[in-house]
Amino acid sequence: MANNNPAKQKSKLGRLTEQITSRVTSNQNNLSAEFIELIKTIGEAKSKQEEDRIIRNEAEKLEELIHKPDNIKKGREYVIRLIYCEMLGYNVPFGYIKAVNMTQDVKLLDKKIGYLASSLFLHDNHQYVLLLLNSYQKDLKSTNPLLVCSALTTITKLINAESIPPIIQLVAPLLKPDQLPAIKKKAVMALHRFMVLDPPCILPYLDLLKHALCDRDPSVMTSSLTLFRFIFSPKNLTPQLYNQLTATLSVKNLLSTFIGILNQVINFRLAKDYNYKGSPAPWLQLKLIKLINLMVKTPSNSGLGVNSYEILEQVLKVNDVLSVNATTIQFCISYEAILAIVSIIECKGVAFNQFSGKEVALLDRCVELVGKFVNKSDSSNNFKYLGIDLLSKIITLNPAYVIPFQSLVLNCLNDNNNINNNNNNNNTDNNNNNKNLNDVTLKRKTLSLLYSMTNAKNVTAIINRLLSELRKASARGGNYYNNKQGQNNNNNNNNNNNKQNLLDSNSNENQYYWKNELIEKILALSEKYAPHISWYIDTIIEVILIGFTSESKNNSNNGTGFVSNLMLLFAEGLGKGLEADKEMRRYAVSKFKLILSRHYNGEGIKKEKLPDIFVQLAVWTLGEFYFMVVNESGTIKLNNNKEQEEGEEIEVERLLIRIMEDGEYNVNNKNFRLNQNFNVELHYGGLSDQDESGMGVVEDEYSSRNIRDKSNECVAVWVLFALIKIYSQKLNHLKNNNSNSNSNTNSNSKKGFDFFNGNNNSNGNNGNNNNNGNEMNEMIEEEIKELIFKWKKSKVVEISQRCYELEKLINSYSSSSS
Amino acid sequence: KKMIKYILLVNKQGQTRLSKYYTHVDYKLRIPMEAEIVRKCLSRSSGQCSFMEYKDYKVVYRRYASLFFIIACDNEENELAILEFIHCYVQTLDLYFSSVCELDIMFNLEKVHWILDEMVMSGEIVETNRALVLSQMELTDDAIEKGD
Repeated sequence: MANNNPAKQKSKLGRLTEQITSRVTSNQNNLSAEFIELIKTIGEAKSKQEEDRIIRNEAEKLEELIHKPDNIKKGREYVIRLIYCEMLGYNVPFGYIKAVNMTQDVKLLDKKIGYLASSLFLHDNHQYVLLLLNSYQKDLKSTNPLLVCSALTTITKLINAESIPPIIQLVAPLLKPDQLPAIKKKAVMALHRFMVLDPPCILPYLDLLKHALCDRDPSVMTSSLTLFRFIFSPKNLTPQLYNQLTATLSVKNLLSTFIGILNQVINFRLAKDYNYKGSPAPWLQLKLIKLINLMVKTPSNSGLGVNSYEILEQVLKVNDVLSVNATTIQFCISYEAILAIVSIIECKGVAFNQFSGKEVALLDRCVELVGKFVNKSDSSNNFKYLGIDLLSKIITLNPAYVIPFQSLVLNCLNDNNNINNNNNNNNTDNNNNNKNLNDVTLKRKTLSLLYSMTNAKNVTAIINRLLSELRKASARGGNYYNNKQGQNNNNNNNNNNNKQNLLDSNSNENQYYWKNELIEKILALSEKYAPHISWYIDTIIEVILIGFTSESKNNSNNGTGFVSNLMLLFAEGLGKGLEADKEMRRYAVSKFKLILSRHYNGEGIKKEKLPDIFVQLAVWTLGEFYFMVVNESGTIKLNNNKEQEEGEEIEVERLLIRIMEDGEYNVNNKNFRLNQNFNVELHYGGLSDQDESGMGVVEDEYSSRNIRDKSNECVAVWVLFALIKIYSQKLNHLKNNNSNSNSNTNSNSKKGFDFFNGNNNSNGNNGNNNNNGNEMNEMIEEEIKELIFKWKKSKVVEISQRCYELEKLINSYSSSSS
Repeated sequence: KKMIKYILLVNKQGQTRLSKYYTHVDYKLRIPMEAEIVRKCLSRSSGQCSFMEYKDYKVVYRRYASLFFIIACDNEENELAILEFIHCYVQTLDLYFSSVCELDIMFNLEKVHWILDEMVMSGEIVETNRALVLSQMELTDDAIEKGD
């Protein structure tokens, strides 16, 4: 490609540095005293407040000066000072127009500074970006290549979709082969940006793209790879567009072009100044490997993967990490190559025992190299991190590959970091070791490894590990109580601590993402490998209790997916027969009862609030299944008798009323809705708040009350319906008993008065009633009907009062009739 | 999305010396976020990974004397490659300013931006050939001098 004379290359760099240095020092003499003063004071500022004060003064000064007709040189400097203000935290919108106007000036320096400032101040949706179009149109046609480059750089940042058509026509000529490489390279990147914003716009320019790929200048070729990466990344293009593109650009040819280029690069065919620490154009190698990886992943292309094995093997040889002199960058390239190999083999979708000999050999080699990553006796954890990442990907191909790394995995499983913490010696080495092991980044990576190693045998151990991690993450932040306390503490302080609040919420946001990831992983594994339904229920409840105490509004969307799945499971059953379903419901009911009892039992102990979603789930489950369960067995016992509380056992109805009165819970109405029959409808896509068919959100009648009341009433509604279900089932059961009909184990509401559908199912029920209990019967029925039809107009406290009384009635009825 | 989301140079007191955002972040959030990232970097020892998960992306950092060079990148990116790119960029600055220091960056902010603009466009690493970057800067400096 270019000339390979090393001596010439070296002196070129040396010569450049000399010239530049002399110029840089003279530059400082061109700055005004004010500017130098500004920079000095910023540099010497001792605290954030002092810096803020300096910048505020500066900004106020500039606001006055900026529009005065001063000499152009001053204007240039003002804009740079404005850049400083914004960078240090003081927004200066009054200066934006000055920056934009500078792009219309005559001198190169002014234009460049105008373009730079515009790209820093504005974003592609800003109202001023349209004003730059004129400058673009002028400068793209300029004979000064530096000007063209400046315009192209800014266009790449600030262009928006609507402005593409006029600009792309000016950019296209800049891609012609006879243009300067510096211009071509930037024009290609501008084209990339256009394509990202509006993919079809690239269609007329595919030839130019092909030329860029085959350009003799490596930088131009490198830029073009960015476009191909966009094309072959999933979901960037519609299938039609993808097909249109690949009709012109043959995928097979492209792949062999990329492989060919990679071959040339690793054989040092590029100019020496593309070398970095002895490796030829490492970032270009990475781009090519990634691209090859991507291309093969597309389903229609997976057959082509075989062609890539050889080049990737070559790459691994050239960047051999097992050699003593292996550099960091060689590790980096090997990492990418191993990723590509694993992913290509995985795409074939065959089982391990069907891999070709070549593939097995490659994988064995990869595992050997991964060992080096993991065991690199280096002071940094970076390599271990990458090694663990590779291991978690390789394991998906064949779990046996993890065997040489057992001790590593066990360490992750047992969270050995805690053990090491206790040995806090004064020895700095040890301290560093401890700190290294406490590396949060590394820890998270190892948890990913555990995730990919999970199977039916080790799922319990791994889930326990993940749950303990979730507990830690919830304690640290992303938790409602932590948040509130933090804010209260800082309320008394001044401005400085207002920034503190912002920082805390940043940290909570961080924890939030990590928690979410953990929850997703736990749920995925539980669903896939649960050994037993009761274990599954336990795990889900555990996740809810640990992971959903935060009141961040995003959580409500997150929680409902799997909760509604669980409700569906309870309702529809496991599909393994009636016994299994009964067992499952029994277990769920007793579990919820236990947890709620514990929560409402302790006097004077301020318990942490239960997650809203948990309460909702528990209330519904108890309403549906409590009576059914209790009726069969007489009492509720958990399988494991150890869990039975010795303290006072609270009746479920009482628990429910307590929840209603508690008033602390909000109800999620996005995925569940109570319909006319007081049954829950599950909506996976989420409902809009305008949905009138449900009763979860009671808009009109309560519009005068505040939201807290509303949601409180919503919780009350759920509790009420659960109670009504229980009471009506009890009543029907008692009635059936009294009427001397067959004592049935599963009294369902169809046999008795169906409160929710009016008198539809009378079927001469009245005739069945024993005269003795008739009055009681009717009284209770009336009470229940009152509740159903009048709850909308009652306050929560009235409802709960009614429920208490109803309960008394039913109890006296049942004791009188037994 | 974008390979590189933003690039920061922040000193260990938390003062920003360079910030370049390739994806838009609201102005009010920038300074607290930059300071938080530096605090996290400071709390890590030299043996720990030079990158960390932050929100839903990754932050790669490298410390040179009192300055942290920080690049926030997409989760899919090769962290070590970004780390080495930081070094490549620092080498380029070093050549341009002849042993670069914090003051050089402060007094020549626009130049530091222009060098970066040669190497990263649209959040993608496009140029790592230091000689090319420097010769482009030389052309620019020449033209500016003449034009003045």
